[in-house]
Amino acid sequence: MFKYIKWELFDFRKSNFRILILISAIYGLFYFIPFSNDGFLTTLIALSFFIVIFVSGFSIFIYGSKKVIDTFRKPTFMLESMISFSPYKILLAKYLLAILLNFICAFIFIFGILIVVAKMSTFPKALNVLVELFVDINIIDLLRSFIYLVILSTTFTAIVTFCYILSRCLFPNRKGSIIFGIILWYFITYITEEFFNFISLDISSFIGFSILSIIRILFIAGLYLATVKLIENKLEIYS
Amino acid sequence: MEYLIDLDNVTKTYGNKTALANVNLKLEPGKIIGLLGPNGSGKTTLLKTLMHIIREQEGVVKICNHLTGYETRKYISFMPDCEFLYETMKISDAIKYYEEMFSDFDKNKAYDFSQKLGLNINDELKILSKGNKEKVALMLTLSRNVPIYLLDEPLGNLDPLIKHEMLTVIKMASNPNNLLLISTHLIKDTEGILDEIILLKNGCVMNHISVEDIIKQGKTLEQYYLEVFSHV
Repeated sequence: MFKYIKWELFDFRKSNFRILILISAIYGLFYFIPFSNDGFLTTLIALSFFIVIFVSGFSIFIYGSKKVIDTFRKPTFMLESMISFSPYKILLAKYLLAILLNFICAFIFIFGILIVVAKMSTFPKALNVLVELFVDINIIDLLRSFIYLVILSTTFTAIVTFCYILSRCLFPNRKGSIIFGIILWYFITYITEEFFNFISLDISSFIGFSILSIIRILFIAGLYLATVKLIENKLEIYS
Repeated sequence: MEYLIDLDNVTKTYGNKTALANVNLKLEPGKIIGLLGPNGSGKTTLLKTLMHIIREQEGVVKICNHLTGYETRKYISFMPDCEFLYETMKISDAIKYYEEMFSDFDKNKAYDFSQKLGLNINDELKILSKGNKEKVALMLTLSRNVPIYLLDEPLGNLDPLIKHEMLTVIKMASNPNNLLLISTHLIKDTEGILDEIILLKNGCVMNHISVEDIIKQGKTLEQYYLEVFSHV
């Protein structure tokens, strides 16, 4: 299972090497070029920088799920299908892969924010701001928020993956499957969020947080098992 | 006699189209068998059914006496007719991938086959020609030590020299304990290595005969093929 993740990350690193270098260059240029330089290049770098931050922030929930769907669509799915791995293990590996890729987006986003903070202040002052931030933060709250974000993003991945696989099984023809998948995704997400609004537990309390997390984890587990059954019994590769 | 592949009344349909119709086959080890038929005859569907990538609707498929499932994939090394490796890999990465993912993979055999096929293991897959990509796929497939090898159109549209190299390697991989099932429509090219042929049309097995019996009739494989299909 971890070898599968390793090779997917290998492919991710090699495919996105130039993009990662570009992002590093944009971040570096944004930090080092003074604001007082008012020219086309400065504007371009600033614009690129904020686009990267916006896209990475937006991608924190979505990128990992998108990559999981890609693992079922790209030619290497045929390779994956030759291995006698249990579908339970492979799907779990894909969920973990989604979490790792979301982390990468989160890292790019947070690092970008830190660069903005550092840019706004002198370096020692920026450091003080960061230290004060970490001292003031309740570690337990931080950990809870982190765990809940991971659970939320995995819920999104589980819903999207289930919808995609079900639509592929029911509609091998691509066009039909996209429309069905989107409608199903919207329906499941709407019902799920209405349910959580209905039970309206206070996530800031320990009990509320625990119950919400357990319910979401059970929901993920249910979708996971349903997706595995579809992969085992229904999903076929025609080309 | 234990059959490595046992299909019992296997049928597969896609909507109105019948891809496989009541296929009955029992295949023994120690043979190189050609799965011949025109385009759309069901050759690829049959191979994918053996791999449990496509599910049969009716009938029973057994691999080494086990019903097909993801577990029976460990008995089969499959070379599909499409690209299936990570484009970002070098040939050496692909060998390492197979070594890590398949416990039956023989790295030394892989390097040996790479040499025989004239491959440079430091080349990236994305810069390789179609022929060399086919060679990589064949090298990886045949470097696993399994009872069954399924090769789907391994020769494709390759030049005669590459075809000859690949056929030599395929012949080397055969032994009394394994079975090679090669799907192809290139009859003349594969005639020299096949022990038996299965003729498939519209998902039905027209005939399953040894090449020796065809030769005894005073015919070439191509003549026999044309004779069978012209009477349909």
